[in-house]
Amino acid sequence: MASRRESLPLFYKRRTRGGAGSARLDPRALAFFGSMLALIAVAGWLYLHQAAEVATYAHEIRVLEHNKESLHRDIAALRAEVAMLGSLERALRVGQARGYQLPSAADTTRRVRVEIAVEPLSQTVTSTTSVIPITLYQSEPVVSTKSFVQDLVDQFRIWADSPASPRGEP
Amino acid sequence: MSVAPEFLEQQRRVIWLEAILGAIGLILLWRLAWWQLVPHKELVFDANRPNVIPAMRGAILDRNGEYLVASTVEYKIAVSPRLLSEDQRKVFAPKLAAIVGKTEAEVAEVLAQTGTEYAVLGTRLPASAGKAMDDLNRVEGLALDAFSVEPSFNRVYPDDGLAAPVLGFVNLEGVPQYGVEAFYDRSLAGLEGIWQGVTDTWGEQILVSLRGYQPAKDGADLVLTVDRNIQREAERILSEAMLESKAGGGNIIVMDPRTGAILAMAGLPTYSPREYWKVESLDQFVNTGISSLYEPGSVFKPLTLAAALEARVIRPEDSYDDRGEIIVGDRLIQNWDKKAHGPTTMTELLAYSRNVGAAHVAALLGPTRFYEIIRRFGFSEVTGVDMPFEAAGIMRVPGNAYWHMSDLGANSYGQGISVTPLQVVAAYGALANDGMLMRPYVVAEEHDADGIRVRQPVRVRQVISPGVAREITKMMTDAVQMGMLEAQVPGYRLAGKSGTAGVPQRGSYQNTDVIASFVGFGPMPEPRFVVLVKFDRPEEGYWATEIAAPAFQKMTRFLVDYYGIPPTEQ
Repeated sequence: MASRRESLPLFYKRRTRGGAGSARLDPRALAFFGSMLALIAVAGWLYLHQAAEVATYAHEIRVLEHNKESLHRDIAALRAEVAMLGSLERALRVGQARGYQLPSAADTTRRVRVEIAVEPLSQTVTSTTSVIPITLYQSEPVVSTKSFVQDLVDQFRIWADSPASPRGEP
Repeated sequence: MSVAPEFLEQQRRVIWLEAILGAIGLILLWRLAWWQLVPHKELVFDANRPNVIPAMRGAILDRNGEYLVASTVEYKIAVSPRLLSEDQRKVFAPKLAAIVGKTEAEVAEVLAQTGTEYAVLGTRLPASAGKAMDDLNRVEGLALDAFSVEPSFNRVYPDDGLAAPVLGFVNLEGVPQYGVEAFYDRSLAGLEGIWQGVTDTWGEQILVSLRGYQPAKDGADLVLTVDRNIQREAERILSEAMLESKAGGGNIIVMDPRTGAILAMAGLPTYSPREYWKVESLDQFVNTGISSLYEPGSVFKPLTLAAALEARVIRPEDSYDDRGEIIVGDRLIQNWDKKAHGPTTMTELLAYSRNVGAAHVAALLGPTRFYEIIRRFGFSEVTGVDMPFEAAGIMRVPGNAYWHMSDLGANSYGQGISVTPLQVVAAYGALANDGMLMRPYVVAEEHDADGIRVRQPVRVRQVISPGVAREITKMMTDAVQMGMLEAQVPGYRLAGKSGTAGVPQRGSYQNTDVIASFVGFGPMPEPRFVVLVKFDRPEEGYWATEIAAPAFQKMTRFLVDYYGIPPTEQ
């Protein structure tokens, strides 16, 4: 008899009273298995949630890594472009196209030769500015120190003699 | 007690259910066991195979920071025509043609190969092609499965063959060959990174541990001691002079004697690293400045005299009686003009290149002291320059089976001894640097993510005393003004010596084949550079003073002008 009772399907139990062979649902077993099912569902949900989160972050990292690699390649390409643009070969070609010529190392006329004629200093100090003549062996314009100072003084005088602004503004 | 029929029916059903579930479980178990055991190795290999993140090879720059070699990214675009529909093929063909630089018909032909799994549309495509494919994918929603865009790093040479023997090249397989590329491969290559994780159903690898990610470390940039402007001028002068003299080859080396830094190292014939496979002979890859041996000839005489001065066997003001010939070790030695010149000073010996005088001095010195000091100059050993395939040279010394006393006489004027051009430059550098031999080098700095490593000049040894170095320098300077005016630059005092050396062939020297060279340094009193000019087997002209000295003068004139060194004499 006991073996027959044990062989009843899950969640069923034999009625203690009533008709022969009758059975009814076991609420305690149902509750137990229901709770277990709920727990498994929660655990499963947690697992899936975490897995999804990990996968999302992993994907984001992968995308960032892709971007980094792409930028890395861009840097390489730009550096190569800089290298090619700065090449001596190109500089010479462009220069030649614009009519420039490399100077010859033997051409010493390119060098500015400044010869300063040193005159003996006068014993007494005078108010006039003594100017040492400078000879330039080049076709550069010679700037006279005297005229520059004179111009400055003249400009100062003009400014000093000019009337003040009627509104007192500078 | 009888059992109700519904219970028996239920029991039967449950047994069937259990049997079915059990069978399914067994099948699953069997499959699981099969996957775990049979293809286990392959699966583990596939799962653990990391994605390699390529490292960018470092650039090579000249001493002014100008690029000599740089890395760039290039793309290979391939297609799997099978995965494209007829409509897609028609739509993509013109767009792909514009990207890969082919005609539409050519691309359509590739796309029509529907039985092919993998067909290459273009290789070595520029970065713009890679970007265009990205754009096409974004705009058209291109089926990425059908296309593969594979980036790779490659080398670009802005000035093509400039300094090619020094730089070397990276071949199409990505293997560095010759020069700095090969010698500094470990620094230049960097370290590849890895990305290792689990593969999802879309084939994307998901990083599950930080240990699975190691970023790539780019290779270091190398800053050379070479100045590309000096290098270009050296190559130009060498090329022009070789054309005039119809020489088979030649070298110009410029070195700073104070540090050993090589400012230029030109060697012809050379090659284009952009198309290295087009060389006529593999010998063109060899850096003859460090790997080729030759007999230096009379440029060796100042070293013989320096050794004698160091050993106090002679004094600068000494003279000898030049009788036109001398016998050393049973071998007759004559002057190049086969004449006797009577009383000759040591400076005249250098100025007019008297073989008899050099042999006379070497005989006074004796073999032991001669070879000891010559060895200290660095001959018969590698200089230690940071480039591959450097030759040590050959110098027979007392104790060697093949050494004979006659070698002493021949060696005194640079015959019967094999040296590399760089060894001669380094030895002359010692004369210019108060007797201190410096180790030549080409890489000045290494720049990487960890910082900058500056390479300090290395003193090898004090070869001769500073006083002797100054004495021999003065003698050489006077000799240039006395007998080698072709090398003289007006306004500057230069020290140097020419050498016309016979090329040994089958045990004898032929007058037809010579190596003409000139080595010198300057300007005095503080030499800034040593210059070696060498021409192999010139057909027009014979003497070094005709061929090499004018080239030396041009090079030196350029250097003093380039560095803005004011003249010291009117």
